[in-house]
Amino acid sequence: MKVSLNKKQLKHISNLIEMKGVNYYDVNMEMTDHIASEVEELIANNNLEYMKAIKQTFLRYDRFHFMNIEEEKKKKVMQQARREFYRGLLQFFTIPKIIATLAIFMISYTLLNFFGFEYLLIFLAIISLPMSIYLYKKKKGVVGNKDFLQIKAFNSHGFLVLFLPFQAFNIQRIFIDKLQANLYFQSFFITIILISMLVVFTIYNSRLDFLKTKFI
Amino acid sequence: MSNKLYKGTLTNLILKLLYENGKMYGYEITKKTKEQTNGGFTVTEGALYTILHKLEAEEILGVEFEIVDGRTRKYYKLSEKGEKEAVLKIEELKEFIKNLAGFVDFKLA
Repeated sequence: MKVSLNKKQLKHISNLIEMKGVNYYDVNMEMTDHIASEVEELIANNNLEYMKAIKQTFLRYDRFHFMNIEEEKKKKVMQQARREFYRGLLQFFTIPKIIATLAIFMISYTLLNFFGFEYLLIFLAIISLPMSIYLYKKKKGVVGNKDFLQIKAFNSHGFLVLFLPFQAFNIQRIFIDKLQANLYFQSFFITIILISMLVVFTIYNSRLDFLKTKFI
Repeated sequence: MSNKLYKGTLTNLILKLLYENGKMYGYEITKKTKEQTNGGFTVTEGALYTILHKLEAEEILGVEFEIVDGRTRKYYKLSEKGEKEAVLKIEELKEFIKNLAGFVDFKLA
């Protein structure tokens, strides 16, 4: 006999998993399905009541079990976010995107002649703000106010890059002599910042779109 | 079985199962592994999801979501890269078992 848990019971399992330290919706959802499948089988095979089946199932897991799964997943998703970023960055140094890189480099070089390094950094800092706000607002729309581990990982990495222009002021202070002395180096520096911002924006945006199509 | 050997074997078993069955979800993999090894190989959920999430992050596995019995179910399937990896790992596994069997038989004799 096939047993299917009702919505209230599924919510109960999800809450229990949350109490065990799983805070992210995407991890909780997968764990809920696993436990629910296990409970359904216990009820069907042993004719147990729901609460007894739940107790028996959760007894198998120690208090850190679910938290450890989430922690391990966090590490893996962070690695994935970094890998996707470097892969995206590398594409700008291969055909055909290298043409865009060269164009950005030349535009930076021309603009540096007119405005100087600091003004260009300020300009980049200004354009990174609406990008960050757009992504932050879009994130809220994935599934209500639920937190996704996938978003969190890409978020932490992505926002670090979007704030590169702000950090660049410090970097500039450290390497002030070298940077001011060489326009090519400054243009290269601006190009890398701009490309990094573009890569992060594209990756994070497509990740949000992917989750939206899956969960809305 | 040592932890490293267990995880290595489990990864190969998961890849083999997905190669043969197409898409599968976590609990299904646990059950199927137990069934196919006559209970000799028990998959702990901690190890299973660590491996699945690792393979997903490495893009060896792709994922699909479906609503089943009122809840969202995450299915794992081999990506194009994963298919190649699975064929390679299955061959490696067969070779390893063959060599090991030969070695044990020789020792017993």
